[in-house]
Amino acid sequence: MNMTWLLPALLVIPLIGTGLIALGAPARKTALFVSLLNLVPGFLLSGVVLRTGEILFGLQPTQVREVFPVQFTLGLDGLSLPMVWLTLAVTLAAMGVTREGIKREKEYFICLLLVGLGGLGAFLSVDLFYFFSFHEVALIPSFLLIGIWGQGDRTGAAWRMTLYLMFGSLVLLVGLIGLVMAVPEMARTLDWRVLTGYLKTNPLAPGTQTALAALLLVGFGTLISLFPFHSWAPGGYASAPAPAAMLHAGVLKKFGLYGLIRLALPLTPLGWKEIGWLIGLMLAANLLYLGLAALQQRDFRWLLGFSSVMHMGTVFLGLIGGTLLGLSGAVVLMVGHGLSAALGFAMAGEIGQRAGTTWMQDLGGLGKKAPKLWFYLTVAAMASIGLPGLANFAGEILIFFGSWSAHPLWVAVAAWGVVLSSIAMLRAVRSMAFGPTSKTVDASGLTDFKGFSETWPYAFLTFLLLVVGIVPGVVLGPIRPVLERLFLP
Amino acid sequence: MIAYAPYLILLLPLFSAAAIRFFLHPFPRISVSLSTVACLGSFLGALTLLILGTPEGGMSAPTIPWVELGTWKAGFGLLGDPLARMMAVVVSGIALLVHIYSIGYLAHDSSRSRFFAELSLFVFSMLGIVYADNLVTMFIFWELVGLSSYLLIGFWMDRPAAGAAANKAFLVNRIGDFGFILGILGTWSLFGTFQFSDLSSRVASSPGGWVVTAVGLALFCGCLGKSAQFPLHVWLPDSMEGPTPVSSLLHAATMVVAGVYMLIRVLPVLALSQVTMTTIAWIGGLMTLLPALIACQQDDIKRILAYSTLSEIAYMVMAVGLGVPGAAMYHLTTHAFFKCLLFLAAGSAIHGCHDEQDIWKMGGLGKRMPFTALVTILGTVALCGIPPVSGFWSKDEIFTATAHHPGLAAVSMAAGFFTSFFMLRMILVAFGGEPRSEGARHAHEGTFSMIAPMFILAVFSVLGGLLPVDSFLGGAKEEHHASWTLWISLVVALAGFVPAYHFYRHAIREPLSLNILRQKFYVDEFYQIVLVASQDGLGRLADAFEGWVVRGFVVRGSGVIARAAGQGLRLVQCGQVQAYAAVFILGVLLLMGWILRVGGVK
Repeated sequence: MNMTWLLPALLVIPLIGTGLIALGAPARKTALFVSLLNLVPGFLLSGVVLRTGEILFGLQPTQVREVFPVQFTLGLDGLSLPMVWLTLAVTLAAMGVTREGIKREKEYFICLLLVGLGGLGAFLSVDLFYFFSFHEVALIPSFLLIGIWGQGDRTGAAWRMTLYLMFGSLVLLVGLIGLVMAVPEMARTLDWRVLTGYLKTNPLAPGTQTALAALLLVGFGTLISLFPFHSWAPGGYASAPAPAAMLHAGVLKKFGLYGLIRLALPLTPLGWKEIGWLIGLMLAANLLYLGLAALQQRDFRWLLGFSSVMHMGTVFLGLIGGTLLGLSGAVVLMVGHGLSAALGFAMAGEIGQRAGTTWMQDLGGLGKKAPKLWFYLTVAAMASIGLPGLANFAGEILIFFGSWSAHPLWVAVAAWGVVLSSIAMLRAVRSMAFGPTSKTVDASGLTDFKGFSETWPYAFLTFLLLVVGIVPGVVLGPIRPVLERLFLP
Repeated sequence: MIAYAPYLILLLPLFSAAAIRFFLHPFPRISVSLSTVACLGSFLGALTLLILGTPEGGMSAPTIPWVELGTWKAGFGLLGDPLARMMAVVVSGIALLVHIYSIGYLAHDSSRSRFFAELSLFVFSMLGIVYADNLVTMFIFWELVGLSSYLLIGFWMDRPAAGAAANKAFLVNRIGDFGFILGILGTWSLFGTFQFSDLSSRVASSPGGWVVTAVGLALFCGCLGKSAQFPLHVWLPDSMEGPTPVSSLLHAATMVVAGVYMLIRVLPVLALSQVTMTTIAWIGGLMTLLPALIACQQDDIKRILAYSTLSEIAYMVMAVGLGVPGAAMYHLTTHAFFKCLLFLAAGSAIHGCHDEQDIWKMGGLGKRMPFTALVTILGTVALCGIPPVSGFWSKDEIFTATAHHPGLAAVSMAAGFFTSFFMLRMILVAFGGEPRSEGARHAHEGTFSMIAPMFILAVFSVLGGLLPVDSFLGGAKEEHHASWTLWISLVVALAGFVPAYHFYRHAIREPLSLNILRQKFYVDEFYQIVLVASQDGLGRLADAFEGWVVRGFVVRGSGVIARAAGQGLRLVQCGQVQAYAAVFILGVLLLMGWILRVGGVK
């Protein structure tokens, strides 16, 4: 049976959802339903990819077209598979944590669906044009989500984020164009599969590689919030409504990393070697400088923002280690970070809604009062500080081993980053969960999760964190052939 | 399939923890039974492995792969050597007794389902450390043990001190693990393996030099954290905020000795460097003495025992440093019995006095709780190393090893003196004299489920010296020769009782006042100032820089320009964002057009 049509189905289903909502279907129910329904093609496609390694939809670019080289080609292989699953899972959970009764509900859910759709499209695109524009599609609704439904300094946060990401996208675009233009005219293409194949046998000149690597680093790095291009992220996440923060920190940020692994690293390997020292310094700043800043946060949302950003340093460490072990660890950590950041921001949203604040010193005694909230809060904290059994640890330990021989100093820095993030997270859990119930909590009449309908998104994310943590093979298995193809001679 | 049966030892408590957490939470009685039965199952399984195995290795199960990437393989394999089998029996046996004790101790606690789930989680992770056949797996369970310790110390969540102590325990351990993981990485890059079974053969090709020393010391950091040795010892006394059964099982008998167990596992690497070994021996040696001094001026019965634990673990660490792991393991085993006993007895006294932990508010318990008093005295005799009780035999082996190291012999014997002193002080004040509080006047023995475990432990504490521990440790037992160290240590230990008897026989308040000991040599204060302030200070600096310079100046500066442009368009406040998005899309589309032109046209 021809299953290729399932690829566009992944995009069409949420699109139909937005259409239905716009036409007046009940927003939350529809959004939940399409997100759930989208798991079906997800499952079927996983089966195909695990069996055959790759599935493509669209015209095969046999040769470079004369006038309009853009082609709508979708593809799914072992590397994009975990990313697609991450998107599907976080989207579903993000719909699940949103309660009824939000203002302008229709637009809200359309925006959320579009963010997820953009993420999926970017991970599925084989054509650089769509690869780039799907990500932009996802960014616009996330600005709206922050600017309209956000909290705190929401306008400022949306401004900052826009400025930064616009700058990042610009540099990225220049880098991508440069990459395509650097290839001789006869072989020029926007299809990264063809491009990869060509550049593997005909590498670019070292100088060109360095320039392109630097451009792509800044471009993707801004999206990933690599130091010093990070300042949009903590505040942006703190101001965003919980589902938007989940999708952005959990999924969209991974687009940058995915782009690095898919394009930048394999196509300009010499360039990366050249600027490796610089990346080392940047990732160390992510880990230490932002880790220390995380210690000082008094608002749980801000703390999560900083901690989510700082862990990008560890992923980068895996990327520059120059080993399959480190790269594999980076992908596992991408998945783990996506899930744990989503769980964390969802919990922050939940606490904010139930207690009326996420200001940590005003909270207290949640553990006794709301044991289920405490449980999932602890899971989120433990996942993000790399507790074994949860996904992030599997990624971190592989990164440490993979990068040790090339960069022992940066590995030590990353290991100290684990200590810093432990201090920050455990302090947060302590001030929110331990001690006697605070006045604010008492006054808010805070209640625990009630029943399946409120708990399931959290249980779902926890389950996935456990699966990837205990059986990292679910990620490592599919990505291995792709990484070997990309990085082994 | 049958080959995987030994994994049941690990899986039973894990299943219990998960089942209680997710399904049985509302049914405390079922949770308690399930957890206890699971622990019994693990104990029987461990016992079976101990009996069926041979000194050469014997029972082991096929490895379950966790991650396999090319040559890098980490999996769960059960290590079947005598050391692991012996340790597993000690751990699961004591855990079983503590389970039974806790049934009585926490009979009225509404959260006891959670307690037993966390206890099961602990048994699972601790047995994981014991059976782990490589450093990575050990590290995984090492962290899980840290988690269960954190959860159990913080069990009484409404007490602020419990939260503080739980955090301190976890974080100090994380600092130790920082070194440990670097040590593991170093070991791997030096010898190309982290399997214990390969280490001893690979070390022959060691490059030597400072790298080997550094790797050894980094591994030792893991022990410093988990086994609470200087300078990472500060968490253990605070961990006494947890329920007493937890202090007894985790923070006295089993978890805190995991560091020693780990040292024995990586001994081939440590032994490559004399500097490493000497450092370990001396940190151990000094740590026998310092906590013993501090304990002399503590008033909380559990803290006294906690400091004594620090001191006893230090004996084991010192023994490893002196290259006699058999002696360390022997003392680990006997200590597990008598220290667990002492803690359970202390718990019994605390329980009897209605949650009173200050020995000066006890008094007269000997008459009201004769059984508890008796087992406390037995435990003390064992702890102080008085013949013929278990502690004597195991301490004797360690003292014998110090025979050629007069410095170490001196400090560790001095520690013996003070150990006798503070233990007799504790007994005289808490159990002698007249009751000094309402709680103490109404003290009574606990239920059968509390008495029975103490009785069993008392038997083992007394007769533990007869256990053929050495035969399970692979190494041939050294001939018991009565060296000079034996006699001196015995005399010194007995001498410690004399001043204690003199000062505390009739004391109703502390007759001595040594502030520096009372304040634990001000180590906590020192850390507060130096470490915490430095990280917080740096953090404040980073946060300020982030807030003012980066967010405030750079971004706001450019924001002002953009805002001015936006205001030029006279947009309403809410629409501003949407207009923004529109401009953004427009910009992107223009760029797209450009890329198409440039990329497409030949």
